[in-house]
Amino acid sequence: MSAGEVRVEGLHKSFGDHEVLCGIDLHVAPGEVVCVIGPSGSGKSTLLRCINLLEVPTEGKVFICGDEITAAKAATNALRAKAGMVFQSFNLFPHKTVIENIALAPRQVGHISKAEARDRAMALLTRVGLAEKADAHPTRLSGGQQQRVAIARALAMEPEVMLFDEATSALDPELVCEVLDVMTELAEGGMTMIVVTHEMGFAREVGKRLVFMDGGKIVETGDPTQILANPAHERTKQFLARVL
Amino acid sequence: MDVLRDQYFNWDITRPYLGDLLRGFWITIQITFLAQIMAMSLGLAIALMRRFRVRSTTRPARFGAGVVRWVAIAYTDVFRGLPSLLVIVLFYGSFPYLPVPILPGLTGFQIAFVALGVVYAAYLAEVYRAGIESIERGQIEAARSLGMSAFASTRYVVLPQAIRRVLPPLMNDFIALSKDVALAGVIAVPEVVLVAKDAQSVQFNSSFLIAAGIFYLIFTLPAIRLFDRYVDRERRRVGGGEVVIP
Repeated sequence: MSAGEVRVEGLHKSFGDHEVLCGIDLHVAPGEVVCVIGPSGSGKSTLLRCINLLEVPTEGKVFICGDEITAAKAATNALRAKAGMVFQSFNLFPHKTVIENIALAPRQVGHISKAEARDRAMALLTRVGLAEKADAHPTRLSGGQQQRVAIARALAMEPEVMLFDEATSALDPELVCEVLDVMTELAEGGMTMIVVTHEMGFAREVGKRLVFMDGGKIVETGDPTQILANPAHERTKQFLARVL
Repeated sequence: MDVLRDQYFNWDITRPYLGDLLRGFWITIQITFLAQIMAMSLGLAIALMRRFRVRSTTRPARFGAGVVRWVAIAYTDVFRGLPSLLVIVLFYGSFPYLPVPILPGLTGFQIAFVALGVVYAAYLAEVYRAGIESIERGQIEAARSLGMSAFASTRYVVLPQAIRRVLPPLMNDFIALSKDVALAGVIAVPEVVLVAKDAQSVQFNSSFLIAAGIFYLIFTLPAIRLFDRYVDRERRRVGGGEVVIP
């Protein structure tokens, strides 16, 4: 069974003459939490965005739950729904209330009834601790609250994999925790996660594997505690020396 | 002073024509709304055509998409460049008589709103386009990442926000359109300005034109106020609104 599995094979991505990803191979097992770290411009975000085809790879293949999303005839929309994504800038829909934000895709893509979508959205809001904000507009919420709504919105499609693109980077330091708590709980619930992050604490404690990227390549991958304490590559050492 | 009142604000001379003027204004309003509805629908279609892209990379598919975009661009450029008056006269006086008649059997009233609808669709297409392009890329990415199709993300995420943003310019064009309805007078549609002009040339008095002007203002001023209030309320509801920096 390949539910929750992500496989990336020989992935290349160029923007014009600039090659951002130079041959990435990555296998994420079901239930695994992989944290991706690296300096800015190393291609972490692009990798994540290629996985659900927000960017079209120049070369290479991506499989979500065993199905190739990069195939010419792939059911792209259906496969994207299996990989929920959380963005650095939240990207909530400002013209909709919190609960409408969460219920929209299940209604329009999943074709479930209005009542069912609302129940599901309410359950997810309760899970991220924001049930009382159901009818507020996103602009009334703090950054941390907005990001928790964004996580609930992604979960509403019942994805097999969750992709986090620097989900806490735009938050005030004291709001980071509430989002990381939700992410930790998800990881403990067995969700497959690929987390691009600068939160080394999260990578160490929640991550089951750490990937260090630089210059569009995976430089080093392995046990987070091991790499953070004792990196094998010079480049990883330099990077960690600056961020830790 | 008396000359002024006699010539421009002569109630006694206007009163017998009031019924005609009101009927004329009713025609103006009908043409305005019909043309606006047509321009809004056609304009939206053109704005969306202009953004048309296909996922397929085959040559015919890409060529077809290019043709769709080209048609939209050509339409906008041509009809924004032509005087509304010319289009009205062209539709009325020549199209029905072509070897393959276009718009045959339509009344002047129908020709007027179709012609104005066609012209204003070009303006509104650009207004919509500005609104659509102002929506952050992240909004579309969020919608698509949830599995929504390009159509669904446009329908439920992009357009509702884009249209809210362009409501003020849409209102602008609505008012401009209502004034251009006066051009329908040249094809003998008895809209209010033509009625007033005819009365003026019979009575040698300009009060009818003033009356027609007042009708216009009675219509547009409250419409603008109500509309502004609606836009403000809408902004506050979603948490935007005016910012005061002391």
